[in-house]
This record gives sequence, C-alpha cells and structure tokens, in this order.
Amino acid sequence: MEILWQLFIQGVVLSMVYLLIASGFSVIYGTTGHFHISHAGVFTLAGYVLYLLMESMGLPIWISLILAIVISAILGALIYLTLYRAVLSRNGTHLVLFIASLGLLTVIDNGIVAIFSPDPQTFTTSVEFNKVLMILGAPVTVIQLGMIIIGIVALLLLYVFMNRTKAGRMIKAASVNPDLSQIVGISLKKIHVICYAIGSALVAIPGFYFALDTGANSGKGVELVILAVMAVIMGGIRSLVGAWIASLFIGMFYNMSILWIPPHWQTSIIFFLFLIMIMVRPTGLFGQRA
Amino acid sequence: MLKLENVQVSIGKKRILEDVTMHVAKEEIVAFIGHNGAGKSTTLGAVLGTHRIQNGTIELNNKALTNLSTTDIVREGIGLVPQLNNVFRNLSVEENLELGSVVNQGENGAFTIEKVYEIFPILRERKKQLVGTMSGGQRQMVAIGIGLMSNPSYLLLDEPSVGIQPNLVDKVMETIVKVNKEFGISILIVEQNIKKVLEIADRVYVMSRGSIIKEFVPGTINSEELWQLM
Repeated sequence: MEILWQLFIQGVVLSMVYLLIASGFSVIYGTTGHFHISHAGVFTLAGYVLYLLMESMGLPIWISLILAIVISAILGALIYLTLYRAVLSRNGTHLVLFIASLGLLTVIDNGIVAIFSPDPQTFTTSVEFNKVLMILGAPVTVIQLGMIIIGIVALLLLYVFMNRTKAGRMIKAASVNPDLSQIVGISLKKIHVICYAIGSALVAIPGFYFALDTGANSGKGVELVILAVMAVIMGGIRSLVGAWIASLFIGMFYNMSILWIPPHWQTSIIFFLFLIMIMVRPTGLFGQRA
Repeated sequence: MLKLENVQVSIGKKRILEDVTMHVAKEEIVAFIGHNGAGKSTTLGAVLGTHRIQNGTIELNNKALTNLSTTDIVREGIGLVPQLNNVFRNLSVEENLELGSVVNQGENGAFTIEKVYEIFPILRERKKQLVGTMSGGQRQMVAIGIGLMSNPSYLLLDEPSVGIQPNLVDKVMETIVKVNKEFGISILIVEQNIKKVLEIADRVYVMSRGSIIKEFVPGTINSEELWQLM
C-alpha cells in the first residue's frame, strides 16, 4: 500500500509536468494551428535561463523564477514574430512551418550543448530543493511539492484567464472562427503573440522543475512534448479540460503501471492505447467533429 | 457614401472580380443579386479588406479604405455579417455580442447589447446559452447582433436568409428595415431570395461573372426581364 501511495504521488508530479506542457501546446496549437515542436526548445531554454539567473547572476530563487517565466514568454513570442511570421508571410505552409520549428529545436539543443557542454548544469542551491518531506508516508522532495503547487496555481490562472477575461474569450473565439474574429476587428497577430507567450510561460514551469531536480540539460524536452501532444490529441484539440484529463491519465499510467507492466513495455502500450483511441475517436475525448 | 470604382480581385490565379463599380448612399438599402459564383461575397470581402484588391478604389465618405487593415475598416464604420461561420459557436450569446464591439466599444452612440436585445428579445432570454446549441434562425439573429455591435454606419449582409426557416425570413427582412430606418444604418445586402429582397431594397445591382451588369430601382423592370439578367 505504501508503494502504491508513493507511485501515486510520483504520478501526480509527472502528470503535472504533462499538464503544463500540454496546456501550453494546446493554447498555441488550438489557436494558431502551428505544430510548434520548438515548444520543447523553450522548455530546455527555460531551465538554462533559470540557471544563468540563479548561478551566474546570483539572484534569489523567487525573483529568478518570475524573471525566467517572463523571459520564456518573450522567447516564445519572438519565435512566432520572427521565424514563423517570416515563413507564413512568404506563403509557407504549415508543413514548412513545422520543419522550420524542428530546425529551430535542433539549433537550440545543439547550441546549448556547444555553449554549456553536454553535461547537466546543476544548481548549487538545488540541494535544499531536494530535501525530502514525508506526506502521508510518501517521500516528496521540496521541488516536487513546489512543482505541484505552482502547477495548480498556473492552471487555475489559465482557466480563469480563458473563461473570465475578454482576452481569453478573444482567444477562444479566434481558435474556432479566425475569419469572423478578423471581421469583428480582432487582431489575429496580437492573439497569436499572446498565445505563444502564455504557452511558453506554461512550458517553462516543468523546464524549471527538471533543471532544479536533475540539472539543466539539453534534449529532454522532445520526449516530454511528444507525450504532451499525445495528451492534447487524446483530450481533443482546443479542449483544455480534455488535455488535462489525458495528461493525468498518461502521468498516472507511467507511474502506477510499473507495478504490473515491465518498464520497457510502458511506452509501447501507452502509444498503442493512443492509436486505438484515435482510430475510434479521431477528434479526441472532448473534441468536436467538424 | 460607400463607393467602389473599377475594383478587381483575384484569388490565386483566378480573377473573381473583373470590374466592379457601385455605391451605397447614406441610409440606403442596396441589394446585390446574381447567380452563385458571380462574385457578390468577394465584393463584400474586398470592402472589408479580407480580400486584397489588385486594381480600383474603395472609399467611405471620400476616405480610401483600400490599404487599411480589416480592424481599421471596421473602426471606420463598416460591419459585415458573413453567410457562413458567422457566430462563435463555443461562446454564449452575450459573449458573442461583446466580441462584436471589440473595435468600437464605449464610443458615443455605440450600439449596446441592450439595443440588440430590444431588436431580438429572444436573445435576452438565452443570453447565457452556447450559440452552437441554438437554431439556425436564432444563430442568424446573433450574427446580425455581432455585426451591429461593431457600431457600423454601413452594414454588409451576406445572404442572411440562408439556413433559416422560411417563416423566419420575413422577420429577418423586417429587422433589416428596422435597423436601417431606426438607427440610420446603410445596408448592402447580398441575397438569393430575390422576391423578398426586392421588397425592402431602394436600389439593386445585378452581378454576373465578376462585373455589375445592371442597376435598377425595384418596380422599374418586370420579372421576365429580371430572369433574363440572372
């Protein structure tokens, strides 16, 4: 029972990672239709930005976290405003944009290795963040607990923003009917910039978690983003709640199923379930048919 | 006055509008008829800047709209109710109407949600309902409401009777006349229901293959002549 509880707690942490990455991707893809695989690059950069702020500049953790979120949001918006706008303004298709995004991801991952070395950049202050707390008998590190709390706050803020503010309604409007949005005078460019900024701020949080937990490292983002994209599709494109439920399922499955399924089968099984799911319901759990 | 002169529009390599010259005077209702594919909807898109024009000019009260963005054209006082996809189905009635006023919110004399509810009382009763769950007629009311909320001096309507029950067509036409007479909004309406639109229009343009081929005042030509034009 104790092991089950420990696995459950670990599952919650991993689910929160997927939840945040998937939410960020969903906000961007649901509104722009851009397959922003460089989302993984922003995830990685966020960890290194935090490393530079804390280790090179010596800023306190909370100021560094806030600054790193803002910088990540700006980075995401800049990727859209420079690279993607350039591709789209020259009639580049979404496939070309995806390839450009993949290219940027490669530049980011390899550039980081060239600048910082392939070794993880560990935080000297991270020791206290790895302090273990016992919650109902299950060991949880401070950084894991912080990840869960900050993640919940971020998702609540996202939910309130999308459903209780005019800007959120404009994003929802632009996601289902971009033509009418333009006709009523909504600037799609501004909406897309906001979406990239929000999505990048969200993906930065798990980026911080991995950097503080195991050191800032290049190349980790792709695997996580692909699983998060899977969650977005399983939940239904443009359905935040759907992406959240699917992320929870994936995170919990990875941790809880270890009791019954050998680890080397886990990824195959989760992708097999995904394939069955999209064969039966290509629009996802909460997606609407066109 | 809204004035188009020698407007040409191509989509891809295909020329859709060959040479369109027309105008809509202040507080006038002008109908725009013609067979499918004649270029009527494209003309409306050109006015609102969603279709880029290759040649010609579009002016509103002697100010060129040609190089303005859609947002700026809406700000100048042009509203459009498209034929299809003319509501935000994932939002409530009230949220749809609020988004209609993104550009011209809070301006003096601006159209308010209350005014829309006065015109369409059923929308007040259903203000919290998701528009995607409403009937075609009610969705069309929301679409017209969105168009009005941008506070236009010129409202362009693209086939407002399409997709609604025949018994509601009269109600839609009455509403258009009411909007024109009570609020002084000039109307340019594209419509396939020629009989109905001739009842409310001050002038009519007939379009064929991307050009205006006839301009007339309802009642001045007989139905046989009209069918020959179509």
